[in-house]
Amino acid sequence: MNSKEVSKILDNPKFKLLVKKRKTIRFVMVFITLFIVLGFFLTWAFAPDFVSNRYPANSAVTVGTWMAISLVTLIVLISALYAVFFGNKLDKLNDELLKELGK
Amino acid sequence: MNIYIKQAFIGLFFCLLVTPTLAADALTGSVSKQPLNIPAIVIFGAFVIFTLWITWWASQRSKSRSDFYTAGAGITPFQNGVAISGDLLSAASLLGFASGFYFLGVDCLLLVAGTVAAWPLILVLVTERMRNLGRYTFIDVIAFRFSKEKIKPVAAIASLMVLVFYLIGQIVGAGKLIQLLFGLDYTFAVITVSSLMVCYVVFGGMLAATWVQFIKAVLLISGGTIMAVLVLTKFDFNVLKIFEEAVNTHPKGDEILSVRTWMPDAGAVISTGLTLIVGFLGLPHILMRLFTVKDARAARQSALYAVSIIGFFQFVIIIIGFGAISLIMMNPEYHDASGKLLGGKNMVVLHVAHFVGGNILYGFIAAVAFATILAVVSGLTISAAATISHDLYAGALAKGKVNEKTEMMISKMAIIGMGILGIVTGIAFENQNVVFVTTLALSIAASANAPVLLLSMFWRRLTTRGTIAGMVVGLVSSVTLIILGPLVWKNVLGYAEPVFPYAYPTIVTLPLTLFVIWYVSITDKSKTAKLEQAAFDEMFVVSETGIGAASASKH
Repeated sequence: MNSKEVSKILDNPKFKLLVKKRKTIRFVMVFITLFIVLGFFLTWAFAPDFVSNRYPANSAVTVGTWMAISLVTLIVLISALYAVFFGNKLDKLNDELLKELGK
Repeated sequence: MNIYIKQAFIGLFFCLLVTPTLAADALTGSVSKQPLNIPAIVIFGAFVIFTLWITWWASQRSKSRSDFYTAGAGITPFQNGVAISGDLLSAASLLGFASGFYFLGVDCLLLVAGTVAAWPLILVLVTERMRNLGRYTFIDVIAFRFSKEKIKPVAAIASLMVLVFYLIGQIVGAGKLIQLLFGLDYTFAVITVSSLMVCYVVFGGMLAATWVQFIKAVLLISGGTIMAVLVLTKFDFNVLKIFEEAVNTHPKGDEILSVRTWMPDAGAVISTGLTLIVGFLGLPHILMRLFTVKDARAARQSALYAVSIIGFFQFVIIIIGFGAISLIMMNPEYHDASGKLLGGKNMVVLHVAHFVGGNILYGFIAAVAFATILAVVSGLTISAAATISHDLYAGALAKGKVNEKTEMMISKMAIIGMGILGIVTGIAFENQNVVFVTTLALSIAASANAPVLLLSMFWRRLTTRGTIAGMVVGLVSSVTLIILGPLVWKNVLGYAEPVFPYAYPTIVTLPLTLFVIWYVSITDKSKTAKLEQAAFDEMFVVSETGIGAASASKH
């Protein structure tokens, strides 16, 4: 690609829309992931007593165990949300753009 | 610029010089040879014959360079996703995680969290952009808008160090495991693993390596699931009961439920988490698999399959590891006269397999553990071969002027070289404690590879100079702090107290690398820096749209 082609695509309104949407989705995804992951590790690191609490109270399962189980489940779910739902939406937009550019 | 390259070489030589002299007793590794295990040998033999047949089939289809490195980008997303999960579900996560729960308790759930946590980030930040920008290796992506001759050698060294250290850890582990599980000689085991690995990859390239990984992953997941279900039947399918009986049985009692049984303090927790999460973003053999599918969409789907399987398997391991405590901890059949677990610490999963499924399940899981190592080292080898021939030779030494035949020749020589290296280091390190090599691999991936890969795709201001400085600092600081840390300074060199407190140094090395990359890049006022920053526009367009991305070849 030469620089003329590049700047033509950069100015294309569909490209701009695609980039903007992808940026928003990326930001939201990274934010949610960091919230879950940092939440997990910081709690584990700085609140050991809380993590060692039992839930249910008279059982042998700790809050930390539930945290780990929830983390794995949530991570798989939000990965699916991006890969299937948002991904397909963005792909559609991308395909339209490529069609318009004749690629 | 040369000074950076020189520093990287000095770092590499330092490692090569230091490692063989690290003489100490194997602290975790001593195993005793077990009697011949016939069911395991038969099942493993069947696996080898079948995978060699696949290799022969793949060799008919691996003619071009692109076939060889990335299976012509013709792997389906499902198959690739399973293969990626196979790369991450190594023998360490099957045997090591379960033993961690068994001996240390809930604190080892950190490993579970660290294993899955990176995936949404890989999906959102890496998969699509990388698939659009690269062709064979992640170094293609880093070198996209920079000077290939300067970037590629440094990046190739960092990448090779990750792969080689990983390989050494796997091969030494393989030798011990096979001695333990099959009752075969250590040296014989090391030579078998290395030769089979060379055979798969030299003849079948990425296509064979992917199939081997796929088959092994299917065996591992089905074997693990059967075991977990059988374990659950012993607890009336009540997960709460598993933990209750574990606490009642374990000599440490309640203590296995509290944190800080494994991690000494908050800093260690954070540093371990950082290494695992960021490290996964920089593992060359995993990143390379994203180029084996046809486009960015398929790469994204592969990652989703991978994280789903990996997530599922974490539950399997948790059930087996904690279930093991009440099932076998007090069972004299699995302990010697002095009360030690037969065969050593890594045997927990195998004893559980025997307890719930008799000799056949034991043999099956033992064969799968062997197959796991074989599949992982094959993936490492194809990745190292591509790095040597495509990045180091074609990209840097020959300045891009090579024909396909010479490049393929070099990559086959590199594969044979990896096989020899595997045998030599495997035999040399038999009685060494090699836990640190895997840590080293992951730390370099987290501190040198991952930040550079991410920033090259997302930060316009990054320059060649900043990239090289960052990689060298990440590499050298990781190596230094691991040598000064508990795994080498205390466990291998035998000093009482480590100079650096944590096993994983990423809490220091990652911020340091990021700072160096930032500072060197923004102070780079050279003309080439301006051009490189301007070239970000093109990189941006390609990464977002996939225009001009390498596409699938027809088969």
